[in-house]
Amino acid sequence: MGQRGTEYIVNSFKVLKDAAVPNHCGSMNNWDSFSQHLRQGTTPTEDHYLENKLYFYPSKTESIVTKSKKSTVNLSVDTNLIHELKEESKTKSQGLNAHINSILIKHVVFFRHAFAEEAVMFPQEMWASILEIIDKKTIVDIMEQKGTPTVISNFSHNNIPFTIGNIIKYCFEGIALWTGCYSSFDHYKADNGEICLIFDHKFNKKWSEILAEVFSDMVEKMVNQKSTSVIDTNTLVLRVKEPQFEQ
Amino acid sequence: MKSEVSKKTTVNLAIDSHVLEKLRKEASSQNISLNGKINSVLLKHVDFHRWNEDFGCVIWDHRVFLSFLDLIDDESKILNVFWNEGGANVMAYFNHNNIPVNKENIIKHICERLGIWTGHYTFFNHYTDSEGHTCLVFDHKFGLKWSRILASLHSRPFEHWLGLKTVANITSNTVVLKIIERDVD
Repeated sequence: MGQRGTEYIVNSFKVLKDAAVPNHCGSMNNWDSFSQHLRQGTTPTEDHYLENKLYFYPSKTESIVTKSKKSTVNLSVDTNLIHELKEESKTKSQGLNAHINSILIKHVVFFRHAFAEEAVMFPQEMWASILEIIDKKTIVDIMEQKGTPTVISNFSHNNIPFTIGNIIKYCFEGIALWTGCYSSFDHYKADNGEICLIFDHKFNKKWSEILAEVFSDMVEKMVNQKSTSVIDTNTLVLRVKEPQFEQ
Repeated sequence: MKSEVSKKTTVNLAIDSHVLEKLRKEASSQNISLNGKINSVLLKHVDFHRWNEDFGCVIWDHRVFLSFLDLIDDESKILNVFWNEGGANVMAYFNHNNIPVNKENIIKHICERLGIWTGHYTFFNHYTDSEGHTCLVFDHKFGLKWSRILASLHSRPFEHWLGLKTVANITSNTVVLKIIERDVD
């Protein structure tokens, strides 16, 4: 692939990074088609993107994840409730409007699906006990077979394309974080182009190893990208390789 | 949050259009107004989710949860963890919101709301039987082991906090917990 193609990829990732969230819902096939196109050394055109509903170009199609467009509504809310929300928003250094938006987004993107799927909540202490009792492979198998499909389903329901940017934004900064699997998440792009994902949790090294396997598998299934990991007691660093488009 | 919430305030909010559309559809499917839907989402956040964020909870798909539950033989360990962590969190919630610890409030806040919201069971009902005892009925999908855990877990607030006796009848998907009132016996 020539320089133009390489620039195109770089620009695509810039668009991904900077974009509000792309609007088309697509499938793995679209990504495969896109990556195949690049592997063959040809540069996809804008038409190719549009025909295949690829994600790097914002469209006018509506999606719940588009940031900018707002609608104004008048709501009649319990006075005590508003008071509680105002107090809470102050502790987060947010305005009331932004705080309510974040609560509603969390409901729409995560909780309503969790409730529909009859999710179960329990104390972190119980999870720590389960980790002591059950072997690593069994936990990994259960999470890969029954947890990962839930994430994929959630993306599909919310019209979120399968890209590494969206996995970071909606899974690692959203769904997975909200499940309590880990307590904080950060990411950056390393000098060698790898995308480094950092997860902090309060459990143990076994949990770091489990998360490494499960998340690597999920990233590979969703965007066909390999990753390596650096594991510590309470921290996992997952290094997702830059896509290799050249033969 | 305190339950006496009748007074209303009108607020003007700019909400993401796509989020609003999703909420509107959800409200419509539940035959409630958009205003009612947003109120319920916000109320649930204040009454429930923000507490979970503070205390630290793990949320799993019920199939994942059931798989793990099947692999754990020591039921008492699960029960004790739930009670030690969950009981303390609930007591903190009662204290923070100035909710008196009595039978009615345990039923209202724990059985009717927290238990359903945590996904520990899918349906709850309660009634007074012909002998005057309060009976609590919980339906779930997790089998006999979970019925035994639920029965023990939900008997504890009444026994430990109020000094009442309870009697449980369980099947693989239902728990009936009878609260034996002192003055009835």
